[in-house]
Amino acid sequence: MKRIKLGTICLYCILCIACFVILIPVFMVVINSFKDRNEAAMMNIHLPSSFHILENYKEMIAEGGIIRGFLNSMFITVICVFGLILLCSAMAFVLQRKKNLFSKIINMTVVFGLVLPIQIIPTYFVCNFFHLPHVASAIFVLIVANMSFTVFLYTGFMKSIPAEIDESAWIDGANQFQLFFHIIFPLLQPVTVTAIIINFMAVWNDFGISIYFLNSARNYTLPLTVYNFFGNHSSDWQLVFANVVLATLPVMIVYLLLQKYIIAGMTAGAVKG
Amino acid sequence: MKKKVLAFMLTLVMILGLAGCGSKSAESTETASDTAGEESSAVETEKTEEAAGTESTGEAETLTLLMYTDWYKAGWEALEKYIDENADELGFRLEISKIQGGQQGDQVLQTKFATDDLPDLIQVYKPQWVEAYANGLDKLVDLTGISSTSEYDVNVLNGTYIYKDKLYAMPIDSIVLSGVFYNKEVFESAGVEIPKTWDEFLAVCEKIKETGITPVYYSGKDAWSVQPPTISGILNDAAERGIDTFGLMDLINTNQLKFSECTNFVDTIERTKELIDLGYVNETYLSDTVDSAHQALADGTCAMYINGTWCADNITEKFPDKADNIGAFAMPTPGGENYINMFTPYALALTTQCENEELGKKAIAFITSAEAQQIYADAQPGLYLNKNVNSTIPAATADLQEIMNAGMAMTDWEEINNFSYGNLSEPLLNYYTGTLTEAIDVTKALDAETERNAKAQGDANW
Amino acid sequence: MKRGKMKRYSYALAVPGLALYIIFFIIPAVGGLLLSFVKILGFDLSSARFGGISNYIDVFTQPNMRLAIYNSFVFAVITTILKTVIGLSLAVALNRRMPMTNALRTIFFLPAVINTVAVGLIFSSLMHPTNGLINTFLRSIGLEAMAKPWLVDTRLAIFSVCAIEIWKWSGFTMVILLSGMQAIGKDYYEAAEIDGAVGWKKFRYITFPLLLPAFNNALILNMIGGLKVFDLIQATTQGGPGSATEVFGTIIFKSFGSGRLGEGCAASVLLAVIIAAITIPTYKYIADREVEM
Repeated sequence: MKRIKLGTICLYCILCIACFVILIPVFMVVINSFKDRNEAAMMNIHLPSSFHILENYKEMIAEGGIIRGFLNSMFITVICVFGLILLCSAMAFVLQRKKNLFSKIINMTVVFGLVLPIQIIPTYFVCNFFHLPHVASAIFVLIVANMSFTVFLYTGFMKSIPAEIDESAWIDGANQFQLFFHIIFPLLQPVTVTAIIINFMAVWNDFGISIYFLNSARNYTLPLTVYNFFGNHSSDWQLVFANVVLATLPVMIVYLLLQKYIIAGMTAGAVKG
Repeated sequence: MKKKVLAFMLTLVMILGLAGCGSKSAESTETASDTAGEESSAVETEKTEEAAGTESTGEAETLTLLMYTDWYKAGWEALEKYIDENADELGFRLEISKIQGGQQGDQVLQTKFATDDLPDLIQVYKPQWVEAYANGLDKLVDLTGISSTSEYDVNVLNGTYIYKDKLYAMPIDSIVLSGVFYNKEVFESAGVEIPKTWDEFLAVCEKIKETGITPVYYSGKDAWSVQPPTISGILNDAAERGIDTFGLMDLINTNQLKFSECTNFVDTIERTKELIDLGYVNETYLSDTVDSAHQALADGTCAMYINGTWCADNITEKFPDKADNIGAFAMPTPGGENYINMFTPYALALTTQCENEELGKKAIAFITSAEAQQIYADAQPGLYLNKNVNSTIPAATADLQEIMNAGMAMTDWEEINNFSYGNLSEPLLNYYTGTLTEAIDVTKALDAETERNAKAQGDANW
Repeated sequence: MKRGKMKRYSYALAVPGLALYIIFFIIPAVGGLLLSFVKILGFDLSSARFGGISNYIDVFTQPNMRLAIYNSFVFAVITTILKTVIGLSLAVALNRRMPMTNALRTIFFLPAVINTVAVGLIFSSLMHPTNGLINTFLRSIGLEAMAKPWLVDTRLAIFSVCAIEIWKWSGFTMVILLSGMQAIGKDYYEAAEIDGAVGWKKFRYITFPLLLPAFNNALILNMIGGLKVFDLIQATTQGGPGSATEVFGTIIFKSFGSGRLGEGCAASVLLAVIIAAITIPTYKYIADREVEM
C-alpha cells in the first residue's frame, strides 16, 4: 500500500516540475502583455513595473481590427470544423469498410495528402481560375489541408468498431445513412472530439494559407492581426503579446470544454458485441 | 453525449450566425467586387452593420489600397483620417489593407500580380522591383501628367519613379539615409571626435572600449540589420568608375561586372568582420535585436550603431528626451571618401485593376500633393521629396541630410538589380560565424545567386 | 452472403469529401508536379518552357542543400523520438480520473495552441546567451559551463530548435494517445489483473499492444511533421544564423521567394518523395503488428 502511494507522489512531483517548465514561456507571453512599450521590448520574465492591462488590451482592440478578426476566425473555423467532421468521418467509414482495390487506392491518395506539403501557390491559381470569392476559397483550402489528417485519425479508430454492428443494423432494416449517422457516428465520439479540438486549433491558428486569401481588412482572421503591430523596423511588443493571449483563449476554452468527452466516451466506446 | 456536443456546436453556430450575417453580406458585396475588381462599399470596421447590404452612400467612391503593415505608421494614419473626414470633397475614400512584410508578404504580392488579383492602388518598393520580382510592370498605369509632379524635382523622379519613359509611381513616405549613429555624450566623455578615415575609426573604437562601453553594436538576431554596415562600400566602386549606382547596376545586370569585382565592397565586408575580431562589437551580437540596439544607443551602453534613419525615428518615438543626443556621420573608408546610401521612398502606384482610372489618378495626385504630404509629415517627421513640404527631423537625420546636400550620397543599389541576388544577410552571417572563410565568399554567393536567377529567366548575358 | 453485404456499402457518403479533395488538393498537386518540369519566369504561367529535370538538378546543387538535409533529418529523428516518448509517458500518467489530471492535461496541451510567432519571440528571449532566463538559471545553480549560446551557435542551433518543437508539441501527441487509450476496453485490464499482472506488465502486454494503432498514427505524424517543418524554424531562427538551421521547408520557401517557381515545386516533390519513402514502410511495419480487436 505504502509503495503505491510513494510511487504516485513521485509521479505527481515529476509532473509538477514538468508543468512548471511548460508554463514559464506561457507566463512570459501573458506578463509581457501587461507591460508598457519599452519594458515589453525587453521580453524578460520580470514583473511589470506598472500594470497596463486595460490600456494595452484596449489599444490592441481599437487599432488592430481585432473584433472583426475574431468574428471572421470564428466563422471560418466553425464551418471548417463542422465540414471536416462530417466529410471525413463519412469518408473514413466507407474507405475502411469497403475493402476492394478502388477504396484502397483512394485511401492511399488521401494519406498521400499527409505526406505532400500543401502547395499554396498552385492552389491559389486553381482558386483564381474558378473565380471563387476569397473567403470560400480559404474555407475549402483549409478543409482540404486538414482532411488527410482527420481521415487518418478516423480510419485508425474505425478498425476498432467491429463490422458485426453493421450487420445487426442491416438485419434491423437500416439503410447506409441511418447506419452511419445513428449507430456508427456516436461510437466515434472520442475521435470526433479529438478531431474537433485538433482541427479547431489548426484552422484557428492557420497563417500560411490565410495570408494568401484573406488580406483585405474585412476578412482578416485573428492570427493575421498580430502583424498589425509587428514591423520590420519597429514593433509594439506589448500589443503583439496581448494579441497572442486573445488569440489563444478560444482554443483553450474549446479544449477545456471538450477534453473530458474524450474520456467520457470510454464507456460508450467500442465494446465487444 | 453526442447530442450535447452537437447542441453546443449548433448554439455556437446560431450565435455566430447573427454576427456572421453581418460579415456574410459584407462578404457577398465584397465577393462581387473581388471578382469584378470594382470598388467596394463597406469601409471602416465599425460601420459594417450599416454597410451590410447597402450600396455606398454619398458621392465618395472607395478605392482599395494595399501595403505592408510596417509601412502603415503615424503618417498614413493621419492621412487616412484626413481623407476619410473630407471624403465627399475629395471624391474618394481609401480602404487600406495590410499584409505582413518580409519574404512571406513579398511572395503574396508576387502571386497577386501574377493572378491580376490587385487592389486599385498599391504601395510597393519601386517599379524596378515590380518588374524584377513580380513581372508586373504592365499592370501599373502610366501616371505622366498628374498635377502633383510639378512639386517634385524631375531629377529625383527620374530613374526610380520614371522608369523606361513612363511615370509608374509617385513617391510616398520619406527618404531613408544610412550612416553611423552615435551617442554624443559617450563621444564627449571618451574625448573622441567623428572619425573621417578607417584608421581614425579604429582609434575611436579603441578609446571607447577603454572606457568600458561597447564601441559598435550589431543586432544580428534581426538578420536584415547586419547589412547597413556593408552597403556603403559599393558606392565607392561606382565613384571610382566615375558613374553613379544606376550605372554600376547596369553593368551588374548585364553581367559586365560581378559583385566580387567590386573591391571596395569586398573590403568593406572584411572591415565589418574586423570590428568583431578586434572585440569592438557586442559579444552577444548574434542574439541581440534592433530593439535592444535602440535601447543601448539611447542609454549610452553602446557608442555607435550603423543603420538607417529609421533608427533615429524609432529613438525619437521611444526615448524622446534622448533624441537630440544622437548624431550621425558617414561610414569611414581608408581613403576618407565617405558616401552614404540613400533609399528612395516607397512608390504609390495605380493598377490596371482600378475601374475608375480618372479617380485613381486624382487620388494619387492628391495623396502626393503638398497638402496631403504635409499632414503625413507632421505626423511622421522625415525627409520628404515634395519640394513644398517642411518637417522637423531628428538631429541625426539632419546630420545625414547635410552630407547628402554636400553631394556625398548615392541612391542605394539594393533595389535596382534585375535579378535577385538572394539575401545579403545570409552569406554575411555565415562569414561572421565562420562558415564562409573570406570576405569575397560573401560576394561570390551573391554572384552565384544572381547567375541562378538570370539563367532561370533565360537571360542572354549569362 | 458476404458479397451482398459488401454491396450495401456505397460510395455516396464519401463523394462530397472526395470531390473537395480532388479539386483543391489533387489538381494543384498535379499542377505543382507539372510545374516542376518547366522553366518559368516569375509567376507568369504563360512564359513556361519545358525544362526536363533541370529544376531537380538545381535543387540538389543548391549551396545549402547538404546542410538542409542534415538538419532536416536530425530535427525529424530527435523530435519524433522525444515527442513520442514524452507524449506516451504523459498519456499513461494522466489516463486516470484523479482530481488534478484534467488541469494537468490542459496545461500540457497549452503550448500547442500558442501562435508560433509568439513562441519564436519568447524562446529567442529565453535563450539569449547573457540575459536569457535559461542561462541565468544555469549560472545561478553553478552550471556556468552549460550556459551556451543556444540559438546562435552554428552547431547547437538546430538542437535548440528541436527542444522548442518538443516543448510545443509533446502535449499534442499526448492527446492523440489518450484518445487511443479510450478504445481499450476495461475488460482487458480486468482480465489481466485477475491473472496478477500489475504496473509495467500491464503496460507492456495490454496497453501498449492495444495502443499500437494510435501510437502508429502519432509516430507517423511526428515524423512527417519533423521532415516538413517550416513555421517554427522561420519564427525562431529564419534558417540562421546565416544558414545554420536551414531545412527542406526553408529551402522551398526561398526558392519560391526568388521567383524560381519551377525549382520550388521540384523541391516540394522531392520532399514528398523522401517523406513517403521513410514513413510508408515504417507505417506498414508497425501496422502489420497491430492487434485487431
